[in-house]
Amino acid sequence: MPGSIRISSLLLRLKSNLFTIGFFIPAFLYLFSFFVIILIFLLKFSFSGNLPLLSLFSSAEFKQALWRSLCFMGVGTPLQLVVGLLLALLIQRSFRGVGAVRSLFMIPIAIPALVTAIIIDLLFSYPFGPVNDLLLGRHGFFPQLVSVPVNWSGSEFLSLGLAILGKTWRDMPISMLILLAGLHSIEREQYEAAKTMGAGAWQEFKYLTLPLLTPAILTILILRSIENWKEFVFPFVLAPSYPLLGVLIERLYHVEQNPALAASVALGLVILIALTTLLFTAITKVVRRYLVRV
Amino acid sequence: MAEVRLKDLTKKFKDVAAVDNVSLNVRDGEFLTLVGPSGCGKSTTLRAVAGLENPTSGNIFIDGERVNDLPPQKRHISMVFQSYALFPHMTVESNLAFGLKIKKKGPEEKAKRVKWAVELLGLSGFEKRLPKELSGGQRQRVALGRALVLEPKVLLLDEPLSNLDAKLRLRMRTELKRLHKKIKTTIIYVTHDQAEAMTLSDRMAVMKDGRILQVGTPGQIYEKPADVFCAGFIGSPPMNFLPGEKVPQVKDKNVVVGIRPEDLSISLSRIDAGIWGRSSVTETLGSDSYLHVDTSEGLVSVRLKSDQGILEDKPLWLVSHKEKLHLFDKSTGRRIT
Repeated sequence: MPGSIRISSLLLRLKSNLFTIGFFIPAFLYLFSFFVIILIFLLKFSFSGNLPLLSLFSSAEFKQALWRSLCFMGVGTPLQLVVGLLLALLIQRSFRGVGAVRSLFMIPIAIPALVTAIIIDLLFSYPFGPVNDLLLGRHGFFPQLVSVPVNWSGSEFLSLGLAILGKTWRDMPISMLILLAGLHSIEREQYEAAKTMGAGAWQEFKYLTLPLLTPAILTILILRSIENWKEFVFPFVLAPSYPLLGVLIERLYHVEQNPALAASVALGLVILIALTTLLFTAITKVVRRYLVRV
Repeated sequence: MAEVRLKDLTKKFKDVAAVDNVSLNVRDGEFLTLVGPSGCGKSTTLRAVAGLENPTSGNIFIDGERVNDLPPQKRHISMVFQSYALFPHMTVESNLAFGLKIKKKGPEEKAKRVKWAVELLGLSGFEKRLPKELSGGQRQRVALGRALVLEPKVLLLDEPLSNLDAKLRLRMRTELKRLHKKIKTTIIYVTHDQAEAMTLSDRMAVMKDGRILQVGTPGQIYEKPADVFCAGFIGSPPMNFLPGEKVPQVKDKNVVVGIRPEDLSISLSRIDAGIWGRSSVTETLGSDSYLHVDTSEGLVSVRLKSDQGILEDKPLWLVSHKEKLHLFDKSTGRRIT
């Protein structure tokens, strides 16, 4: 009978793919429970009540937080890329003690972000922090740069700047490692070939290293921009008066007890992240095409 | 075009001398091959000429100019690597034009030279492809073209054919030779394949353990190998070696006798000047056949004349003309003239 043949062939295919299916199920459950369910709840929350979404998106509080988050992402992401690249280039060569130096650069990621943020907050505290002491010329070895102590957390520019620097410092090993792996995957002979064809160090970097690193660079841009959009710890500790979207979510949820609004902001973040990812992919493609054209 | 002169070149890695006091003159427009087993220092020598390795001592001259302190960029050389080292993110055209761009040639000249290379190497229609979309032979030609468009004084080739399959290797060998005839650039070629060295070179230098053992035309080295190593390395199947006391024409225990397979003839009846053995297996290569004969000194290979039938498992005598014997000093391995 054709019916039973179909069923038995289906069973056979199931059986022969059992291994693959076995691996697929946990991944599916994971994705479903942590992604789909959360997204559904997020959507449900966002559109509950009398559409708080619209009123929120037009509020000044939201617009300011959006602008700050954009700056945080727009400055922080390239900064992390550049710092990671410089460090990766520095430690890719083998020299005496390179292992120790590499381990040293891994330290920031081993320290909890909250601890790092608090240490920075203490260092830059107002008016009697160690950094202010330094700038005021209270230590003999350092020239006096300011006459009155700097109120770091009182200035939007300075406090968010500190948050960006703190975030960059802590997360630099991630970018560095990804780029280091990318650098190691470039054959040494390609550089040698370029040398015999007359290329100097800068040309090697421009025509070989950079274009061949674009996959790694794109990975970093996407991963880091997602992280920067969502960032909470550093701005929360260092710039409490100037909330980013991530901090705004916490405030709406905990302080204002408005989960629907918090969920709306979160939804906005998801959309922003998706757009940013597309944007970076497009930019990288264009830059790579420009670099590859000889 | 230029001549290259190596004077007492030594390159040590830690305490090991990869290149040991090598002196060599490569003439203008010559195709010179450095040949030897892996680890003999031939690639290191080539890389030193390219400027990719700094010699520990000794001098390198290109066109009479001492280039030891010049970086590779300023030596007017081009190099083709065993792995080809094509830029994977650039098209064939961009790979070919890369060096010209670096040297700031105008777009017109760039296009002209790329076109010249594309036509010379039969790469028409592949200009827009990426290296990964090419076959091994095509990649090899792009690597060669990329080196040639720069019109180098010296072209350095590091085992350029060893990643190709046997058939393609033979074809590229012929093409390389024709190419050299056409462009007449000085070429230094590194290979471990003696057949490649024999067929391509104007002259070849046999290397072992960082030293050059013999320099000469393929014919000279084949006819008069300077020592046991050169004698055994050049020629396929390799020369047979027998202790002097076992060869009736020599009868000298301080001598090693070398006999090429083609210089031996077979007799089925006893010959006083012959070496006794028992035939074992025949290898047929098409035009030639080789018989391996079991003697008291191990296997000896003999090239069979075309009219000799199958001779397996028969007692026989091997004999050679006395002037065809190569005599080497047993203690030093050097040729006795």
